[in-house]
Amino acid sequence: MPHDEFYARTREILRMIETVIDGKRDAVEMALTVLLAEGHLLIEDVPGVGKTMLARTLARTMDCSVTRIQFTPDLLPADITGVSVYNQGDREFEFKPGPIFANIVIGDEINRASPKTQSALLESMEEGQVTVDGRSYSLGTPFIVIATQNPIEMEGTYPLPEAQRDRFMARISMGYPDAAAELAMLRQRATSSPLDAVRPVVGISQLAAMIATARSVFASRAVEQYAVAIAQATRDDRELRLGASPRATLQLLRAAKARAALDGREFVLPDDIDALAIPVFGHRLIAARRSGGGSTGFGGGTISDVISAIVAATPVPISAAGPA
Amino acid sequence: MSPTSVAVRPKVTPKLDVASNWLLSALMLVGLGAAAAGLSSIISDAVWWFVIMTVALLVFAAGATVRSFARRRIWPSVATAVTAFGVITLMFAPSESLLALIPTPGTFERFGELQALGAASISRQAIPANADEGILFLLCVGVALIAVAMDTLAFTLRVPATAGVPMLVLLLVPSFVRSELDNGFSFVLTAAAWIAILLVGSRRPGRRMAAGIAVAAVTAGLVLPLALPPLESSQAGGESPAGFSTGINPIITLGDDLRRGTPSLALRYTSNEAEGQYLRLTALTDFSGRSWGDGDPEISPENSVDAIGAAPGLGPDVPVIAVTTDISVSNILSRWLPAPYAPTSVTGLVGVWAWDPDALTIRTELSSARGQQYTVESQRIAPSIDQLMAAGTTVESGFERYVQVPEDLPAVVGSTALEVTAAATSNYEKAVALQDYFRGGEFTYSEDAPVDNGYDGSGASVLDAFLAAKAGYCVHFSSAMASMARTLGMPARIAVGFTPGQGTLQDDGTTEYTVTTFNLHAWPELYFANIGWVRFEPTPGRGTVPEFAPLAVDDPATPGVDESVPAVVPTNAATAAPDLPAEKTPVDPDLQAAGFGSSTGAVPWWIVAVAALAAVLLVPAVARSVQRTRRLARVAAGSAETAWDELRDTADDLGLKTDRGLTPRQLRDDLRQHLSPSGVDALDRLRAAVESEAFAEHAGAPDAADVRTVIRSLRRSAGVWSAMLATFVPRSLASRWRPELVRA
Repeated sequence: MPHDEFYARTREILRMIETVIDGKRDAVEMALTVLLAEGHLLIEDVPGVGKTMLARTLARTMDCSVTRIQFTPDLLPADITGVSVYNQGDREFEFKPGPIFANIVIGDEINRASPKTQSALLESMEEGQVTVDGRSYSLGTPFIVIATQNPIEMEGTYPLPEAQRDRFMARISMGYPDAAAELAMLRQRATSSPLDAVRPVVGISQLAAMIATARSVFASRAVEQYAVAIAQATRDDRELRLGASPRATLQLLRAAKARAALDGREFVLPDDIDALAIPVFGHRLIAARRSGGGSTGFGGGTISDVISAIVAATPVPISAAGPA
Repeated sequence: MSPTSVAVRPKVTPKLDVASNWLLSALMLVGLGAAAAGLSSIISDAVWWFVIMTVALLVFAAGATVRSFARRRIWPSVATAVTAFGVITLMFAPSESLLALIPTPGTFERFGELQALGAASISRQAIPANADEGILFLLCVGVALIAVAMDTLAFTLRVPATAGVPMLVLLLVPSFVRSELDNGFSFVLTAAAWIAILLVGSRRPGRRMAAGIAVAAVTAGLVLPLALPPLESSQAGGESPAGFSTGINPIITLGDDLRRGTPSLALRYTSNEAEGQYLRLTALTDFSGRSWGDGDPEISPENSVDAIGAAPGLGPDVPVIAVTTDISVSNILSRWLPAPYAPTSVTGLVGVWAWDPDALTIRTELSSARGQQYTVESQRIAPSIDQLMAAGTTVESGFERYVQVPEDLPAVVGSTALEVTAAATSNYEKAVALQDYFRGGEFTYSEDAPVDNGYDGSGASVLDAFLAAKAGYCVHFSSAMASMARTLGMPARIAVGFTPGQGTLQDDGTTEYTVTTFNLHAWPELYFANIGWVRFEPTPGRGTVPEFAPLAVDDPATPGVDESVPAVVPTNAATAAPDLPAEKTPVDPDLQAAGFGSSTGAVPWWIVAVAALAAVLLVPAVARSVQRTRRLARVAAGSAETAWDELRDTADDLGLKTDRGLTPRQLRDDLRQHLSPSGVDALDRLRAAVESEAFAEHAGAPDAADVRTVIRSLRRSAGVWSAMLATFVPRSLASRWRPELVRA
């Protein structure tokens, strides 16, 4: 798909989403970026700010299979992956696919399930397949998980294991709407759900083509060096106990490409890296000190500050002399 | 490399890398030591060097130690200052201070005394000076201040490149006192240390450039002094008068002046006498030590020059001729006033002047002869030969010190004197015999032979070499004759001053004499009872022989002058010394005719100094301008990155925030508020060009005109003062050399 067509499509998607989610352009663009980078998205915020609404709207703009899993403490792994059931007629075990078998899976309040259930997502998210009773079943392509969760401090939550957090490409938060947006929302919702008006903009084949286009965006050596320099800095930083993984660097660059494409560019800028550093790295890093906002805390206060400082201090490779 | 931690914890200065801290401190110590070693050309022996290096070592060590644990940058500077003060207190005023360290009012009084002592000592001593307590105190204070300044510049202000400036100041001190660059080695060593400081201190791409500039600067520094001598000699009253002003033994610099390539105007005078006057500056009366000195006379400030005391020993029967001389001193810096012997009063002087009752020299403590216009009333003592013959051979009481000679005076001096004067009976005949001996043809006038053969100066030790080689200049002839006279029991001293100079007939019939530094001269004065001090002239080819001391033979060195008759036309070195080296002999006749007018060559030293200072201050501006021009050429050739570097540096110069962590878009957003609309457009085009060049597959083409537009727009919005500051003190140059001493 040519870049201008890609651009036109994304504008349509964004406009469609904004009929539902008003005044959250940044969050919406970030969500779309992750989607087009074929990454899994984690939306973290307090209840009631529209996490699920964003996930559902986003999924609805795509004409592809969408499932939704409500995570609860008693949810079992099989409820996600599916089960083998004995078929009386065929006298055989038959695999009944779970809700994970879809192009877009919305995992609502993912941290309300037990770690055991959460980990059932692990294999599927990374490898794009499910193994039940020794048999592996491939998931659809594209396969994207959009999960929402409440901040860790909320009651009845299990923190996501580090390994699983690393599998999400980015974590975003919604934040409260401003007064005007909130007022508009009240009027809009008075009669009907705006979600009903959302129509799919792209089909599954187009989505796949858009993902391919996003991947084809050019990233110069300088930008790659810049991304690596930031990742390295997180590993050296004394404020951090755990730095960014190589997977994180990879996903940072992939997200940056999608962001560039979304911006109508055919090449990645350091600005893309800068903008994505906190969403992509934020949920993976662990602060050296436990106090003052945990590693998965709301907004990741301390961690975000550390990342901002690292980004600000890492020289942007512009000079012909290369990075200093 | 990780400037990371700086940004993460901006409030707290991170600790320095240990190696860089100590290495830089050590290099600065080496550089300072090398620069200080250059002082050895003006200060004798080497003990003082170890003393001041101890002070410097302690100061640097204190800075480095505190720096290794202090979190704030200010503390190491405080530590160096406190250490410097403490060390100096401990060394120089322990008994005036509590526990030898804590200053009391007495400490500062003591410091004041030492400072005065040092200043006095400098003004009295000859080069090389002896580092007595006062001079040592001044040296220690100076070095301590320089060390504190270097440490503060390199670490607290983080511009190690500028640490070279205090070192340079120290390096230049000797050249203020002496003109020749004889401390080249120390120069090179200091420069090497500075380059090392730059290399260690700089971890940026600018390092190579810094090294290049350093090399260029050092080369210029070495070449420049070689190019300086003509400049200096064009300064009227250059070196020798400067020497006089600091009280340095005039004999030392006299030879240097005579050997200099071109003369400079010393003074002009007219008098009511037909012939020119010998003008005395000072008299060397003391020959008890290794060489002739002025005996450090105590001159009472009450000896006002309105009425100068009678000439010592002048008897009532001796005829005297009243002489009035109007003197206009040009550019010489001298604490002694040129005046004919024997002065009776001086009028028209500025400043406080006093006369020495013995030598009748006129001296000031605070002002200078420079630019003075004054009238001297004097008596020319004209004894008859009979009176001189009658003076006898006894030494009057009170004149014993004028016959004193050092114990190690070579025996040949006395034996030659006896030999030469064997036929003479009276002191007068002996004196004339001695004068004839020197002027008789056996001796030749040479300013270079003594230097070439290592017997220059007025010391006792050089006399035998001079008497053997029979070549020298006024210093040797006068000191030899005076010494020989003393061995014969005749009171003698050496007068230092000027020969009469070149006379020019004025329209009003008077003769104006022009005296240059080539007229600097030394001659013996011998004392005769009831007559006083009488001038003799043993130097062949120089000056005039007094009429009362005619020569027995014609002086072959001055074939055009009949020495038996007092010379009416005074001679100067250029005309009367045909054996002068060829390159000096032809004094430009135009120059002489013009009387060394102020427009010809006599550039005041301060203009030269201001010009030099201005040139030095312009160096950063020129360097930045050259850099900008070269960059714009590269931009025109298609390098957008260069355009961006230039923009960033321009903003840096203007004091705008140009963090290297900013992306082109972020920098554009920061600069937008400082730009005119056209500037914003130009900046945005450049932004697009640099983005596509650095990050896209196909590079865009930058426009050098856009760079100029943005620069203009930025400078305009910054205001006149900031723009000027940016031109003359371009911060971007310094920041390129700023070290990244920080480690995570």
